[in-house]
Amino acid sequence: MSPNQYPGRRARPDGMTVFFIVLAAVSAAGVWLQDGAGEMIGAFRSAGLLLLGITPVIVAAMFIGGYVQAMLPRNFVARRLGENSGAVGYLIAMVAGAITPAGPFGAFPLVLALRRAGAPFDLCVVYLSAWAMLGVNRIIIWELPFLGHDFVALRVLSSLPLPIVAGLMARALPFERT
Amino acid sequence: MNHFLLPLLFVLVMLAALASYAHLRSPAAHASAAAQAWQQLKGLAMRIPLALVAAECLGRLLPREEVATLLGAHAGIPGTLFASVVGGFLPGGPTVAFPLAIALFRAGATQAPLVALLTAWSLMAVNRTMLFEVPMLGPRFALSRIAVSAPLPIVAGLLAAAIAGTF
Repeated sequence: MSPNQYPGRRARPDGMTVFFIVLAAVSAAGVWLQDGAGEMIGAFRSAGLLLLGITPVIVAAMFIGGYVQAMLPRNFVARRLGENSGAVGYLIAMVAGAITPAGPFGAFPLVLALRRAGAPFDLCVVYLSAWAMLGVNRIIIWELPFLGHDFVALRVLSSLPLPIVAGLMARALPFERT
Repeated sequence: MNHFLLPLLFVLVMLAALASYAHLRSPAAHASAAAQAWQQLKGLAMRIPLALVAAECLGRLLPREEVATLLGAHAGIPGTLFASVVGGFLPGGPTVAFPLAIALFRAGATQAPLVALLTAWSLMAVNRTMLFEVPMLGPRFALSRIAVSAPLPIVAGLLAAAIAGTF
């Protein structure tokens, strides 16, 4: 009915996309200058292979987010795991983070789904911190074979309380509460 | 490619369970979920390939040997602080961070700075933040999470030093 109110709006990329365009261009130029065109093409090739690998995971993850949003009443998770069940919620989030058997292409879509369902910010921080520091997956694949169990035990022991600390600090943060 | 099989299996099982549940309980959810997913994917279609290129190139720009030499030269509490900073800004995935940690380990670095380095890297992971967290959860979420995570590597390093008795 009314003419397009924002002419050219579809074609213009948003700020975040512009940021990534600039970052990709500058870093690619850097590789070209430092190591030559062959190395830059090599970087493009590995990026392409990585893209092939993560695309199915991301597509599936976005559908998971869609289903969660469609079926869970908004703020369901917030009510279940919100302010009132702090300690229990933190513990669940921490264990869940540590045992999530996936790289970032699995964990972040899960957090997106939880956010959509109303999970509070501090709980997402506990989950992501536990996944990052205590993730069993990476310990088994990367850390144990190369750094040995003595070091891994020391590192895990030192990191054990930190997801909770991060969550409590996130709770104190004045923004990103809900 | 094998690296992606387990995550793919994980999300597919989750998706299958959710879709079957939706099919039984509220079939209308299919259309709404698809619309939501499409909306999200449209935004990511440009950003993810760009972020991947940036991540690959940044990983190649890192002067790995120089970083290892610098880190090896510092020990104790200054070393832990320094390692936290380096780990926080270390671009690249586990293929960058672990070889660096292994090189330091072999070169005889003490454990506390190594713990701080790996903790900082695992929490900040520039690549992962750019590739997944910012596009999916937004820059505000990512920055807030990084802000609260910033002191943790230092705490981890100091705890490690206390436990190992290498202050």
